[in-house]
Formats: sequence, C-alpha cells, structure tokens
Amino acid sequence: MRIISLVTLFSAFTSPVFGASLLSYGMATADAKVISEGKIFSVYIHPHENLLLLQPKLFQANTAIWNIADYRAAAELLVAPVGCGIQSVHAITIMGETWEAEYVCPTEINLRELIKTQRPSLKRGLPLHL
Amino acid sequence: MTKTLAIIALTLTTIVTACVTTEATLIGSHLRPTTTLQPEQIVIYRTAEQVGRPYREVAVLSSSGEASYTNMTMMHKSMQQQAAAHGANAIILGAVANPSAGAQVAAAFLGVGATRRGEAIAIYVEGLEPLPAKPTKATSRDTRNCRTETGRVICE
Repeated sequence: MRIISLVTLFSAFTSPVFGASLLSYGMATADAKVISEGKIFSVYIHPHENLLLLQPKLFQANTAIWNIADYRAAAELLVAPVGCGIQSVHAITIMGETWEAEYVCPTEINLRELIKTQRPSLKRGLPLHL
Repeated sequence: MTKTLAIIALTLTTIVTACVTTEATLIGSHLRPTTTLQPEQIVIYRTAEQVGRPYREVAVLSSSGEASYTNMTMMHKSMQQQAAAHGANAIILGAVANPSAGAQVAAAFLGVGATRRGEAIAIYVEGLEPLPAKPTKATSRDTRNCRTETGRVICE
C-alpha cells in the first residue's frame, strides 16, 4: 500500500485545487527515491499523464520548509539523465508537502516505460539511464 | 513526528479561530458588489475619515469572543472574513467593548466567560487597491518554456 500520511490525505481532500490527481497515481509504493541536496523524496509516476508526484520521504526533519525549488530540483534530477525536462511544478495540497511535476521528453523517450523497467534500482536511489 | 505536530497545530488553530464569531447584517443598496478578495486583502480603516473617498456601506459587522482566549487581531481577522464574504473591500472599525477587569476576575473566579464585543462597517470603496494576498503553497506554480535541443528537453 502506498503510504500517504493522514495530514497529506486530509490536505488533499480539503484543498481547493485538489482534483483527482493524488489518488489517480494508484496505490503502489513509490517508483523512485531521489536524493537531492540531502533531501530524500519519494517519487511516483502517473499511469497516464506526463506527471510525477513528489513527497518527502517519511521521518525527515524540517520537510515543511522545503520549497518549490527543492521539488523541481528533485524532479529534474530524476528525469534529466534520459533527456527529459520539467515544464511545471505545483503543490497539490494545502499543507504543501505533495507536489506534482509535469515532464516533457524527446519523442523517442518513453519515461513511464523506463521508470517501470528500472523501478527496483530507482527505489534504491540509483539514477535513471537509457 | 512533524506530521503529528502539524495535526495538533491545525486543530488548535481551528479551535482558537473559532473563538471569535462575527455576524453580518446587510445594509444599504440592493446592488451588492461582487469582489472575490481574500480576507487578508480587506483594508482596515480606524475611522471613516481615513477612507478619503466615496464608499458604499455593505454590512454591519458584530464580533464577539471570549476575552481570555481572543485578542483584537483575531477579531479583526474575523471581521475581514465576513467583509470578504459579502463583497466588501474594506472595513471601518467601530466601538469595542472589553469586559472590565472586575468582570474578568469574576468570570475567572466563577468559571464563566467574559465576552469582548466589537463592531465594524464593511464597505465597498470604488477603485481601492486591495492589500496583497498571501501566496499559499497550494497555488504555488513554477512553469517554464521547454525546447528540444540535440535530443534533450531543456526547460527554462
């Protein structure tokens, strides 16, 4: 089961900008662990849209002060090795600890498939590769 | 741990904020303004003279709250919420009735509440520049233009 904290879940349902996006990522565990400047993120890839969901991995201090640049950096760190970029990043909960990043890839790159096949190593924090 | 603290803080904030209630009685023109301001964007005037330009009265606001657990800032915020909800873009503060020291001591001694009451007029001022809205994390968005260069997507 995907671990989504009560706060995140509460925020998701009370947020005015909340759509179906949080739950539409499914109930699997995170697809990747990204470590960016000492901050550890859990990253989920959307099954249909060109979107990534980013959350701080649990039990880290001061995650409330992580900002949009931190989440963008983590998303870019994940996708850049295969030539993709992050077009937009936005918070999807009021508490601000769940963010969504929209990625853009070269036409020949299927990021979803790459992440799916490399999932075991990505979950250990290793970088994505072609 | 941080998430547990967040839940506690959120609960306490909700309880404390709920300690002040403001009732609005609509007055004046049947044509109601339709602003969509956030409460913190509502301008607060201490006197009518400070407005300095014509305005329409929208509603009379009456706030009350337990004196021991509320302060004037909470009362003003509650008034701003009601003003925003009724399409006003400013309020003019009126009289505030604080319970006397004796009443507060008696209230504490008897275990009953001592109520602070305040009044204000919610107004609509044509062409008034609203106070800046606080950016919320939920609406934060960072969008960049992307282009493909030598097989890589670059967004900047």
